[in-house]
Amino acid sequence: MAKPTKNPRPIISNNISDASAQVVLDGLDSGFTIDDIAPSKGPKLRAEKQFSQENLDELVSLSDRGAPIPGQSLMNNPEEPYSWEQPPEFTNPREALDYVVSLMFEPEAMKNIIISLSKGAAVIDIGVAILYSQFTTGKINPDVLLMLVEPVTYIIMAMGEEANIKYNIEGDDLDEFDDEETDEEEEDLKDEFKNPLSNIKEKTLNKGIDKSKINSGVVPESILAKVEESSPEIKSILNKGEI
Amino acid sequence: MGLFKSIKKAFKKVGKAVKKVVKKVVGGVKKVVKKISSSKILKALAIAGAIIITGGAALTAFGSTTGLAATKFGTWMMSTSQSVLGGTAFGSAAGKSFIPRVLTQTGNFVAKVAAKPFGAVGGAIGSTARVGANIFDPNQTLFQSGPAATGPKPFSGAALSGTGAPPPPAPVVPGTPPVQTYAELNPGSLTGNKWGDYVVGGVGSVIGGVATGYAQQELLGGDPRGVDAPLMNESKDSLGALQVYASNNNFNLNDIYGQLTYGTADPGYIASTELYTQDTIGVPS
Repeated sequence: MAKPTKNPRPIISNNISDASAQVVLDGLDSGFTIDDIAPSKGPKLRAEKQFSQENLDELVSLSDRGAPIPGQSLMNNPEEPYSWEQPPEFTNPREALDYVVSLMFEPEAMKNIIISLSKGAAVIDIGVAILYSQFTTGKINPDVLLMLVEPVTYIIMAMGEEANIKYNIEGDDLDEFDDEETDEEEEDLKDEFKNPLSNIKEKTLNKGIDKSKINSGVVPESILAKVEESSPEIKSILNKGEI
Repeated sequence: MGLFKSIKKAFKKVGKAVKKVVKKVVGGVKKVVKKISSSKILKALAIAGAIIITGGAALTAFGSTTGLAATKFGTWMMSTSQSVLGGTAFGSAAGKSFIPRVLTQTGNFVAKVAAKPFGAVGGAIGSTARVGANIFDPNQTLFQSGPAATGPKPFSGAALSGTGAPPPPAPVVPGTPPVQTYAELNPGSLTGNKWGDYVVGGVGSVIGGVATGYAQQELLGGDPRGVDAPLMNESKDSLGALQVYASNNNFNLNDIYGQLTYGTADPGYIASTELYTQDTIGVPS
């Protein structure tokens, strides 16, 4: 594109999905193409989920170790509470988001996130793991945690896109968006096929043809008789029929 | 552990909800722009989202010459905030107490970009937390088994009691070191005491600084000065969106700092875009 036709529109929203959709639509409206906004970088690396016996074993061993004894937390010394039992460090979600995002943008962290994306870890799982660790270290409370899931998801998605990885969003859904695409394409094709037929029908009905003016001798009677013979006899459901 | 269980349940719900929203948004954009693959729209949304959240820092974070920063779209997105920041209406509209706070926050963001990795958590909390902690630890691979870097061993007494791993004991030094005087510790001292050195050093450096400055002034003819930015007057629509949003959601505009909002009209985004003009972090190699 040569030059945007207008300046960006000021946008404000309470959720990042809506805000980014509005920004993208505004960009398209200003003369950008999708390729300008999301430049293609060639074929993406498919982040297939890989089975790892070692990881599975670790998970099993973790569950084997059992859970805390009921009431165990009540036996703790009140003078030494857990980090998450104390007031969180960040109560303002803006500050918490800045903190978490700045940690994520550290080169080492970014590298680890990209590695895990490429190994098939889902975006939401990584985001939740990051936020959960912040909760357990007493940085944020559960309410702020839940508020940050969406923006953190977007940051991880952007990292995945920059690294040119075809990533899972939630669980194992690598091709989910593409599958939907084929479904949508099929629907579009069906619509395209249906449209001419319905157009003919509509046009015919709208022409206002007077039946009395139709010339009855156009179709030979022998052909009409054949049609009548071959067509099934339509009976009313109230018809007695043959006994 | 009821709290953790309920949080984990909430995670699953939120995860699904976020995915639903993302899907819906992709579908919504696709309806407007036909014949474009969903994954392409997803990419555009992710990029736009990252720019909004970081106020443009994401652009440079991905590489200032080859990444998003080099794209025209990235530059274009920055232009809203630049026009708003150039004006004076923000101070009067949003309240003076707010802007310094946001700017401080922006400054903090830069400082935090170079922050140290945070301490990892105890194994008792479970593998989720450890994976989250390992992400930020250069010495651990992501799904590395075993305890997190500085946290207690999983299910150890320290982890279960919540006290964390005890700090390593300080090395025991036999005997008490002899007390040394200031002059002994600072062989280059001019006066032999701290205050004297401070006064002499301070005055000397001030005199030296003034003399050097005068000499430079005489030789170079004053400091080079850039072109002043023209004073921009804020247009109605730049902050209109924010005012309408505050009004619709029934809160005072001065309280916007406590509201988690997103978009090109969000004050957090506007203030953070200053980061776009500076190098924040290098690209991981």
